[in-house]
Amino acid sequence: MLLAAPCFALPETVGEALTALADRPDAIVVAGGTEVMPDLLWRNRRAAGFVSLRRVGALRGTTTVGGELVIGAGTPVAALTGAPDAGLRAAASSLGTPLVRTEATIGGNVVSALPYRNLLPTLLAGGATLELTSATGTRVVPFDGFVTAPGRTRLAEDELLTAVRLPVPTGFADYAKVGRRNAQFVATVSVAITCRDGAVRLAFGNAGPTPLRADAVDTAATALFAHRATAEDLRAAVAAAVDPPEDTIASAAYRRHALGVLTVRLVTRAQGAAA
Amino acid sequence: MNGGGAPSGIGGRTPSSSPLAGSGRASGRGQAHSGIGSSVRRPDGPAKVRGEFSYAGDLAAEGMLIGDTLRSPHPHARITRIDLTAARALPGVHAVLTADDVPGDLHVGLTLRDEPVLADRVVRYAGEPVAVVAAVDAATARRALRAIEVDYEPLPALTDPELARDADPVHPDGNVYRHVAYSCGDPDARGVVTVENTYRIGMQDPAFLAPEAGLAWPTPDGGVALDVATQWLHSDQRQIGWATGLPPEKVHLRLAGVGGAFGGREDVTLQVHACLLALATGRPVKVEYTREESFLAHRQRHPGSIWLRHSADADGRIVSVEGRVLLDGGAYASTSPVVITNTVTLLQGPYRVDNGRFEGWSVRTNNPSCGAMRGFGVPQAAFAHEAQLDALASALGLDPVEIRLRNALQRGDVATFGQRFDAPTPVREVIEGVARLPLPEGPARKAPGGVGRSAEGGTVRRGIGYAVSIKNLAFSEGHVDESTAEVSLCDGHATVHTACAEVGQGFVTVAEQVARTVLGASTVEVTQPDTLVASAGSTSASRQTMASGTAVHRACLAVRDRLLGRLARAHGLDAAELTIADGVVCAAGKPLTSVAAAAPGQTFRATEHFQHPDTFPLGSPEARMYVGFGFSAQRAVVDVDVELGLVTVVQIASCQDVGTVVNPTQLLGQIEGGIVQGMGLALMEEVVVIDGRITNPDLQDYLIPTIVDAPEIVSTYVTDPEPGMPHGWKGVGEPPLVTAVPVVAAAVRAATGLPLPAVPIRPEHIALGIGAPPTVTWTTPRPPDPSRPPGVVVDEEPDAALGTMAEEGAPPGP
Amino acid sequence: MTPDEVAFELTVDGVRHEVTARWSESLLTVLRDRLGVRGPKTGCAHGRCGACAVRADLGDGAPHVLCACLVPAATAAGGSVATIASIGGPDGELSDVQEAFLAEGAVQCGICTAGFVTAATELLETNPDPTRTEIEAALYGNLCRCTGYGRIVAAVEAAARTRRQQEAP
Repeated sequence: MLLAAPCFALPETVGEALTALADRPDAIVVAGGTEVMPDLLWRNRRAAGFVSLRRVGALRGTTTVGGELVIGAGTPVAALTGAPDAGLRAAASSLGTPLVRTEATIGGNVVSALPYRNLLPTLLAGGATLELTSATGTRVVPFDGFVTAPGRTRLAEDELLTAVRLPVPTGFADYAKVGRRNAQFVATVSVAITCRDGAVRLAFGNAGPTPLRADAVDTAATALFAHRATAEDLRAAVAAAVDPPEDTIASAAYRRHALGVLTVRLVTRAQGAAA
Repeated sequence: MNGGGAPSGIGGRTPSSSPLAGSGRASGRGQAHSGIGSSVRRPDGPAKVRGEFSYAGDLAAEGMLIGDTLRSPHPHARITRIDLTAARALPGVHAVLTADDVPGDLHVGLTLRDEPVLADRVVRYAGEPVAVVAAVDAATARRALRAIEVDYEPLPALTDPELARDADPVHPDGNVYRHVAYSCGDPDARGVVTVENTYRIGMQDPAFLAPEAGLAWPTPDGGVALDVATQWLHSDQRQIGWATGLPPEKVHLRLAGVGGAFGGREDVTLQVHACLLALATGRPVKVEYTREESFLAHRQRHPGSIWLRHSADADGRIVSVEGRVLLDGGAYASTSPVVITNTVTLLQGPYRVDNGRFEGWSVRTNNPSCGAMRGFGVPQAAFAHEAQLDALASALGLDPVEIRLRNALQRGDVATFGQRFDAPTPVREVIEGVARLPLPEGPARKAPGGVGRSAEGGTVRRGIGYAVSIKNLAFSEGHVDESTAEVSLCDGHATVHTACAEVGQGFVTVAEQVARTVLGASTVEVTQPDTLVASAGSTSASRQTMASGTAVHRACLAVRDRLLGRLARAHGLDAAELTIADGVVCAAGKPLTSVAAAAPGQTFRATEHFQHPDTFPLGSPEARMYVGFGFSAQRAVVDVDVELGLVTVVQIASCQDVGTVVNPTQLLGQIEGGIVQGMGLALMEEVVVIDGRITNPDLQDYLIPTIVDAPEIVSTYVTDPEPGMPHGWKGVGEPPLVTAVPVVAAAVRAATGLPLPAVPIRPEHIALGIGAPPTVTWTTPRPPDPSRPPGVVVDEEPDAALGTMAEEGAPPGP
Repeated sequence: MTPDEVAFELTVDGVRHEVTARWSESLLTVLRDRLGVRGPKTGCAHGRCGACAVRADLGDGAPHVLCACLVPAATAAGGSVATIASIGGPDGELSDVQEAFLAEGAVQCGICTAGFVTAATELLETNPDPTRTEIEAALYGNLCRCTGYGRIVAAVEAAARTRRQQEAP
């Protein structure tokens, strides 16, 4: 039981959470803590308190409504490692570590909005939408465009991300990422794919300042899937569409190269699944 | 799992194959069940698995203050002003200290004493301590740090070691820690083929898992006490004495629980600061680093570049080797003057080289200071010389194993640096041993890319590589290598006291095994190491079983002789006829009494010292730089996703020269742990320093291998006893790491056909084909000039100003 | 209590505590520095090494193993935490996993051991017969710098074997 907490709130409903947030304008929302805690300790992030979503039961769990998975924003990533969507499953299963996945939430992954976050390409490729709730009601926005810059989103100050809706893929979906060791790594680059009725849709992680997709890439990928184009064509389309960072982990040239390779492989996997 | 199919018997020597895990399956070597040769469990193990073992980070004391450190944000700057007024005025702050508050000698260091305890008007690396504070709690201490006002005038930072020799000195002592140059035979002799290349090695962090911590308090004698996680209590004691102005007898150290070390705790970090704060406040002060601070504060492995030119005859026999080494020692000396000779002299590898020319520099820059890390300069050399051997083999169409066998050092050979290999030198045996180990069977269990699942849909190529290494064991070049043990025995209970730092390697187990074997003790207590007993030297250089283990052995023998002498007198027997086995004293082979009941209530004690035969600096007429050597051969099997440049190490097979197997389980732990650290350097571990600043001081971006990265390891041994050592034991901790670096690189080269002259191998080195191949020249053979003297010619006199290894390890002479 | 503090109840290894802590403090800091519970270790304090792994019931679903360094302590208000001290018998008796870690040489410096034992215990609760691949998948959130992991895998396999043998009729 919380005995007293002037700068800490542990609400149990979304309404209480919104009220708590309104009462503490300088507090930050924390769900699992896996992003926020290291930020506070290591990256000089400042805040004046926490509004924790840990006890908001309504934010946890996944339901299927009208062909969409509705995933509560507080659902831990560990719970998504068995999701019906193979792309989401793959992205969730390679996020962080088993000990981090029990705490990290899908909402935290989305709102932290860094271009290498594991789940984001899958949400972008899958055409996810987001439920944003404020005291005045809930609006639904596409995930595409939600992230505006590294760590920045269109979430208003008085809003909470309450759910992620992801159309249940009817065809092939997958996700893969590249890193410098074989487990527990931040994606150097990542790629998500969905393939429905012969139409391929791809999205990239750490290929630019925000999660990124491009019609030209999808067109080239769809053509490759139907054997109407070559892998080289698709790689060229990817290379033209991405603007990956250059840092101490990898050069931009390697990232561009790896994104092309990974993309072709995922289309190859889709072909294999369709065969 | 490991080594199930290992061959029995290597080269006719006593075989020992892993695994022999668990004391229930101890090898039957005629020793007591719990003695030398069996897998005795760690005495500190039960507390560790229960989470009850006390580490330095767990220390606490009534009324203790928390110490914290203000570090320079600049790699090179002049401090123009420090204002402590605000920090000192904060409630709860008990002390704020800078260089002006150091009562003794400001400078410390393991060799050259060139490093200020707190920055002295100039900072020379990003992270250099500028001030320390002690406050009632961590939050107050942090506030105090923020309240310290420091004005820096940034100076040009010397961050390229290539420029260090010619650049303006960034320290009054100059920019060269040590230059070594020597030749042997006729370095210009040539065979039919000559290969040369330049190799680069990145900066590896020891990354022990428990960050630095210690607790200091003032003592009633006017001195100071410190419980600390360290590798070398007496070296810390000496340096604390310098800085505090206290004589050694007033500086009392005890070993706190150490969570790994790997060389990174050999230099002082917080030791002096904690003591200064305790003396200034009159209160206990605890200092515990964060992970980031740990990266900034302790010493890394030297990054460097190595140019090598090997010439060989048509059979692949090495005709000559030339090598040049540049190691970046960073801002302060630490052990840079010692590390450089390891790298330079062992460029020859475990091969016979009669003609050679070698030169090397360790230089000062404004990069992080480098010092000891497991392998101590030799992984760098091994990475380069093994790449050269493969290049020669490739040029000549020889098998990589064959070329190594043809060049393998043998007992009696003379090293390029003049020392005769006068102990077992089983290079051929370790190569043959590893070649016989079974290759992995069946489909690969793990694809490159691991949990990222990037390999599916791509092509994976397998590669197999071999590497062999030579590692010097124990201190070198005149640094005295010694230890002392106090042992007592009463009613079958033995107590062993040394200053040997247990850092995880298992010395406590070895000490217990020795006491059980020699004394027949039924229980053994290995007491907390401290400075009440003479120095054991550092837990480094693969040396503690040899040094402290031998001191314990000698002390146990002395105690045993006292017990047996007493018994002989009591029973009217000849002491020479009495023996102890399995806890029973026998007279002429017949049981007389149990050790426990032999002399009720009487305590037998002995203190014994052990010191290795002297060593001498490079170029000395004695031609004995090193105490001894260990040899190791490994074979790596890797799977490489060439397009993405990702690697999975499937298996590493190891055959190592270990003298004797003291504890099979612990030995395997050293082999496996060392291999995985070496693999880390080969594939992923690199402290990235840009403009003098570490950009990845955390465990998210500094990558050490995870359990998914770890290969299957198959381990076997050559057991050819080391002369002069009890049971023929010898150091085993470093060779596995040394060999693993080149072997993984060799296997990746075999899979990809790429030159890969740098470690860590980055994915883009493979995927984008970065890195220059060796230059291969077909040469007109030119035999060695017989008029050249065969011995070592040092181009400069042995450096008289090497400094000392912090304390008793002074070079011989005036 | 100062304005930036939070007071709450927390049960640790069966003992109830009233905790006062700064709002941003981690569960690990509270356990180690406020309550003197030193079984969970500080290796990185950013969720990478797993040395602070504990099993916790935080009122957000079933109890599970997590990194205590990543959890804001006050979100555990009213919850309960089982550290390494809750594994094994009351009189220092070792669990099968602890016993196997000792026997197989999975412990060197030991700073990672409590975390590994905690994670391995959880694994065997849910999967009594794990493959090597499953062991690796369950334990890659725990780093070890000493052993190279070989003896740790051997220990988990040995513990699973022991458990199966004891449960066999």
